[in-house]
Amino acid sequence: MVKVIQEKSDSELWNEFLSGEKLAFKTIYDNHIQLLFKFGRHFTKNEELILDCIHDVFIDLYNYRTNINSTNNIKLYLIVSFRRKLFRNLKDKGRFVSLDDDSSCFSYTLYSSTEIDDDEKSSKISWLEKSMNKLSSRQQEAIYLRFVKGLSYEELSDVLQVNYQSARNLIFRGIEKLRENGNEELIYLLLFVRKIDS
Amino acid sequence: MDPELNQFTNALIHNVEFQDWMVRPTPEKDKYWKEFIAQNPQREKEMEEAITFIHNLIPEEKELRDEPLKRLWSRIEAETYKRKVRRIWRMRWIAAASFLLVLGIFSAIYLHTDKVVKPTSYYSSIPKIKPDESDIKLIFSDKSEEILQDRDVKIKYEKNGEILVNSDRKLKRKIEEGEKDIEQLNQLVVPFGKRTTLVLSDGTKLYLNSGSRAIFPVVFNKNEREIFIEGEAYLEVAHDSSRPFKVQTDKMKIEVLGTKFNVSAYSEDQSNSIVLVEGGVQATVDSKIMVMKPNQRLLYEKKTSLTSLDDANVLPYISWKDGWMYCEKESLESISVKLSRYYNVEIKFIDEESAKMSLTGKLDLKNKCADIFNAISSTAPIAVEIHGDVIEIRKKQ
Repeated sequence: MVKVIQEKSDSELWNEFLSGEKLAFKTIYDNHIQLLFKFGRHFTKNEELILDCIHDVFIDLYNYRTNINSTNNIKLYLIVSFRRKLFRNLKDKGRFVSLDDDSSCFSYTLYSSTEIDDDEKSSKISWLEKSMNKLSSRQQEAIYLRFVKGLSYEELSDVLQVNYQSARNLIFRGIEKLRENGNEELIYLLLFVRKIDS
Repeated sequence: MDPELNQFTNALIHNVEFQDWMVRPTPEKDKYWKEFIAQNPQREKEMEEAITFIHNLIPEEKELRDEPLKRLWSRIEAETYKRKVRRIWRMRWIAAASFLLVLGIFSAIYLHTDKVVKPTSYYSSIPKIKPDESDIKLIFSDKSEEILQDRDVKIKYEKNGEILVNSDRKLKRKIEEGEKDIEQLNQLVVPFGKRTTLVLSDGTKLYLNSGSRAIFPVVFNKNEREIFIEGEAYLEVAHDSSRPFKVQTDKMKIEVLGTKFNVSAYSEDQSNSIVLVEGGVQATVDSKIMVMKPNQRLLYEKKTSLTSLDDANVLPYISWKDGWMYCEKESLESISVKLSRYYNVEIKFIDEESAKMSLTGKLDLKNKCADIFNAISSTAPIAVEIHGDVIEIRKKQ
């Protein structure tokens, strides 16, 4: 049942939701809850705050559904709305020093270092941590949304509130830095990936 | 590392199409890059490196656990749909009735077509009253009549055969001792612009919509319960497992198996439908037997005599009984047909464009008909002119 619904396009799901289908609303929640939670965890360790923001996102989605026109890209709408709410809340809590909206505190590896005792995994994590720390948080966030969440450059520029070229530049420079800094680790990783594959 | 090799790896990593393939793979993209490597086998190593680089960008992330995930949903649900559902249930006040059905019925016109399911002989022996008179009429088995002049009337049949009108007035129809075993049939006729709520002797509740009639026994017999309906009705059938409840219409027979279901149709309408709200229902159309599941709609197209079963939202089909109309991308023409019955007015479309206009929303039928059309014209680009019982609609210039 749920599987069938997931195969529906965003616009079909959205129309069902608009016509009052509770199941469609629940499907939208189920399809995006992990994405939003994981994304939020790169900004803060405060999981309660993240869940409060997700709650507000879905209440807004329900209350203002007739005024929302981005019906063919629910994921993008949710990410943008969630990010805005999270920033506002973090700002209220004084987590951001700067009042500038652009200075998000995205950290690629905020919660990955501990808890994992697997050798192979931790070597990948240490590579990520070492090289990502050399990037700006904007670059980290852009790479995360592009390569982990699969956003297109157009979608990325919507989320980060920049134009297409700036989104391209953020990723380009970020990758360049990673390539410069991470060569040795990368070779090591390649060896170990081959080992797994064989 | 060979700088030239490294350069091509970099080029791939920066390539937007390559990235798209990695983050949003499709069979087409797979095919493209497989062909690329088949044509450039010397690039295989670089491609592998590029793939590994991008794979390694995926961090280890904790999932939100099931328990907080469900707790968050309950919170969201409580502030959205739960609230709404509660309100709807209050409106329904079905209380004791465990079965709920809405009936829309096939037309009298089709009595004369070849595929008609013949109503049982004693139904046809009762003279057909056209629902185009101005007052609600209750016709007794001795052919005497009771005229009821209100717009909305509540009629209740007690187990002893007594009839209560609007819960205060009593109509005494004595049941002859010797006739107790024979079903005495009464007929209720509801003209356009009027509605009636009817409670039968077994506790079953019927909402009869404008332009409808029902034939039913004063007291049901011991073995089964059967009534005849024409027009549109919403039924909440009292549960009685020893006596199945059957609804006979011109075109079909409906038998309640489980809980809630709903049907809708008029003689003027292009199609007729049954919508099941909950539980199970068995419908017979053209001697075809169909068992329906909840949230399904059985649609009968008159022109083609085709029946189909599909998934549906039930609200638009049952909202009329609570005094509102729920439209979901419905044409102004189709809405007007319903409104013209409900208010007994004539609605004229001056141009086709305004008739084909599609509307979504809720109309409060407790308002006057003119108010409803004024409300529509304030949101849709139409102009409305009202001349007594005739309403003219045209596209706004």
